[in-house]
Amino acid sequence: MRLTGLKRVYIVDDEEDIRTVACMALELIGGFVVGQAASGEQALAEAAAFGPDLILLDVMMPGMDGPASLKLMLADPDLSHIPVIFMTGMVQPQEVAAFLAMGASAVIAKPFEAMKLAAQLHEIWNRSL
Amino acid sequence: MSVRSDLLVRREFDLDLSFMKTGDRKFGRNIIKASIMAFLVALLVASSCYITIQRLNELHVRSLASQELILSLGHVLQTVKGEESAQRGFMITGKESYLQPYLFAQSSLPGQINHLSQLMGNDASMELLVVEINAKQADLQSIETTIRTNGSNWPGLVALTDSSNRAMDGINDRILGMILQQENMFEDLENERAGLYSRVVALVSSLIVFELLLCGISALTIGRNRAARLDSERLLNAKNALLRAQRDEFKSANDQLTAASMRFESLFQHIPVACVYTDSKGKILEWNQTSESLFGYTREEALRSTIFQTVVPPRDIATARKAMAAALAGQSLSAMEWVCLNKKGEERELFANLIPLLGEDDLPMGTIAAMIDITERKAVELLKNEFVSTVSHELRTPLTSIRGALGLVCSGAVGTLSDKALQLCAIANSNTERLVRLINDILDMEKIESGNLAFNNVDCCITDVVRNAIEENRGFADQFQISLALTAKESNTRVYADPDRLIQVMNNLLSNAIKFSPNRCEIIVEVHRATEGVIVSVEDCGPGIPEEFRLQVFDRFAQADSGDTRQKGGTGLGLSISKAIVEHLGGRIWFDTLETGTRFTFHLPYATASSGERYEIDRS
Repeated sequence: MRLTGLKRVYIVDDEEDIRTVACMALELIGGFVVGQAASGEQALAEAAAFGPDLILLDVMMPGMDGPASLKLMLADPDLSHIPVIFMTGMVQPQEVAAFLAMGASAVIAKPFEAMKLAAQLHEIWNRSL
Repeated sequence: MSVRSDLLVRREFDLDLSFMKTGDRKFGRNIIKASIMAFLVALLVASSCYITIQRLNELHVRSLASQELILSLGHVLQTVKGEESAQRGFMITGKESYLQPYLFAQSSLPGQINHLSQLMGNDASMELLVVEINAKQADLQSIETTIRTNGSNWPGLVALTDSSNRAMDGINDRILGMILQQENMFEDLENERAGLYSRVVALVSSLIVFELLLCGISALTIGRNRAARLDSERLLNAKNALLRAQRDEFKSANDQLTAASMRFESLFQHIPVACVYTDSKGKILEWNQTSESLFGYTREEALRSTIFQTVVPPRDIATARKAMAAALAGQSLSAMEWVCLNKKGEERELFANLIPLLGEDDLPMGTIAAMIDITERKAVELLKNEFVSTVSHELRTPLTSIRGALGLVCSGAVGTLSDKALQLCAIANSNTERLVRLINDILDMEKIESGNLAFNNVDCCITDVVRNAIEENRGFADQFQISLALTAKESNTRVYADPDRLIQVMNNLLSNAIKFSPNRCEIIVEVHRATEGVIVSVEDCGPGIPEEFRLQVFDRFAQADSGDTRQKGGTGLGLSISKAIVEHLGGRIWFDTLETGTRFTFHLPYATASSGERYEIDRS
């Protein structure tokens, strides 16, 4: 059970433009503190140090993709308690079901609406309390 | 006509002729029996008549003999009496002339007696008669001598005369007795003859009656047989006519069958589908030209082997045997995907149907496999999937950045813009949204065509889904001062569907209605229950669909007026996707052109307890 509000969000995406837009949207609209990583490997190495309340994870990334990264995060004691939200264009019902079955807390469809992204995260955060 | 059909017809004719011959043989046997019986009866009667006639002849001879005997006895008696009378006359008159009969008797009597003795045979009465006549003769001679010696007045003559008279009486009595005896015998013979004659008459009459009766029966039988034969012939003629008609029909059918068989053979050999017939063990029975091309084995090579020795990969033999067993059990397996080997050992991907090969008893005796080589198609499909996936990702990735960035800029989150900059940002933002919809629609269309569009069906309230869709589109409608009105008489109408897909349908219908309606009008959305299911309609107040475009409304990329639609930002895929979704959910969609505007309507079946199971079965 989370006792604090959503403040720190960590974005993992190989596309720098997307990371930039998402960071700006979350910082400017949502007022979050946002950290970012360009790959799954980087996220596994640095996310724990950032101490996020929530991780936004891209699915299709070169090298370690989203599902592989999630698997390792869930196995990492420092990260396993942090909810992970997939952000992807793969939003067919069976794809979403598969991501949830892997341990993701939710799935946000790309292309996301920048102005609504913060609100979406709040909703998911509150729903999972 | 083929040999087979000719034999069939001939067999039918043979059957009828045998029926006729059987009747004739029976009739012939009856006639022979009757003839034998008539002959035997006639023989019996003739034998009996012959014996009787023989007896009659014998009796006739005996009657004649008896009559002659009576006459002879009468002559003898007459002669003896004449002799007696002559002597009396001589004795009374003394005249010699009276002795003439006496002298005649003296000379003729021995002959008469001799003749009589021959007629009588060894008869005691005859012997006594002869003795008495001889004695009488002796008496008469003695009297004559006495008269001549002593005269007719001699006293002793009286005694002699008396004695002679008594002898005469005795002879008279004996002869009369013998005549009477002969007359009795004659009467007996005549009676017997009459009886025998009657018997002969009766026998002959009986024979005649019997023969007449037999002739009558025979004539009747012949008549009846003739009538029966005529009936049989008529029946046979009718049957023959029927059989000829059947033969002609059979010949026509056979000709058609032969032609169809040739057409089938031509089709079988040239159809671009590999067709392989096997027996229950997998031995190849037939192998068309496409199979030769596909697998590389000639027909002769194939017919010497089994599918397991030629085309089935060793790893798939168990699976292939299982499929064969199912087909041999009467199942038809369709739309299967197999991997087979050609003669070079290369794997080919096949789309296949496997059905039972029925024998003459209509029971499966093997299998028929119809296969299409989809190796290239699968490769293209794989490439296409990879392409769609890549395009999807590669298009979405920059779109995500563009959309997000424009959204932030347009919202003023990163600083205040001039009015013209804001206007340009809005244009860019709007076209980004349009591009997002276009990509989503294209991907959905591709998934629909490949059968990969996923549905997460649940029991849901259609009114709630429609209400949510209206709320989602209210902002868009507000831009044109268009109101969205919902009319739902029942609040909890359940359907078994994917709510997200239903919202997709409603979004398409509502956005179209908004786009094509003039500002400040009202769009009416109605949900109501009908016998066959739920009816949902969206009625706009636009210009209506041009008549020449109505048949293409649900086609892909169909746009009534491309210039106008482009202004409205449509992709031309929305209605096509909506139609596919509604039909996938077991419903149908259509439109009605109204006096003012158009009403799009779709129907969905009600949710039931077994909706989920039925849906899964239908999908499978």
